[in-house]
Amino acid sequence: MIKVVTDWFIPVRISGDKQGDLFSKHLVTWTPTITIRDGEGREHYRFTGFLTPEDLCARIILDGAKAELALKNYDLAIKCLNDVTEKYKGTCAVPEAIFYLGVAQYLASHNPKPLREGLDRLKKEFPQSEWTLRAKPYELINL
Amino acid sequence: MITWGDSIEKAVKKAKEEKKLVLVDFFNPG
Repeated sequence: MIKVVTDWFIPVRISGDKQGDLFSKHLVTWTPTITIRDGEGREHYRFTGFLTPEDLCARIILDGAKAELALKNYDLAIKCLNDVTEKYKGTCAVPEAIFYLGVAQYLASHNPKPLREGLDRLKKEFPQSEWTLRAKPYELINL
Repeated sequence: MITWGDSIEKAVKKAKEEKKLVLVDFFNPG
């Protein structure tokens, strides 16, 4: 967890009792809320509420990977998404990571097959997941 | 050990220089 945070992020803590004005400025209504920004200050993702240490780590890696995806750092995004699916099995982040792994591989290669492969994996491993539903249109992609 | 900053602006500037992302933890001390 510490290595993930320090290797990849510049960490900041904003305390409600000392910097409450920043809660209003950044539309934070509940704590804990963690946001991920890029080097231009643009917020990419946020999540609110308590997670187990393993789930928290997986969520931070997943949202960091999605931010890297938006920044077109595809190789890094794919590596991190693979990390979530392989090293954080059993965490809540895995179905979404599988979904975005297909997206990242498609954006990196323009080959649509990873989208379909992601759907097939989601159907097998997480048939009830919202992310399986979101990937359903990829059934039209032929392998 | 994580060394937490307390300024989003400073963190964003540092993130740009070091090609990293910024993680902001909004919390209320218990």
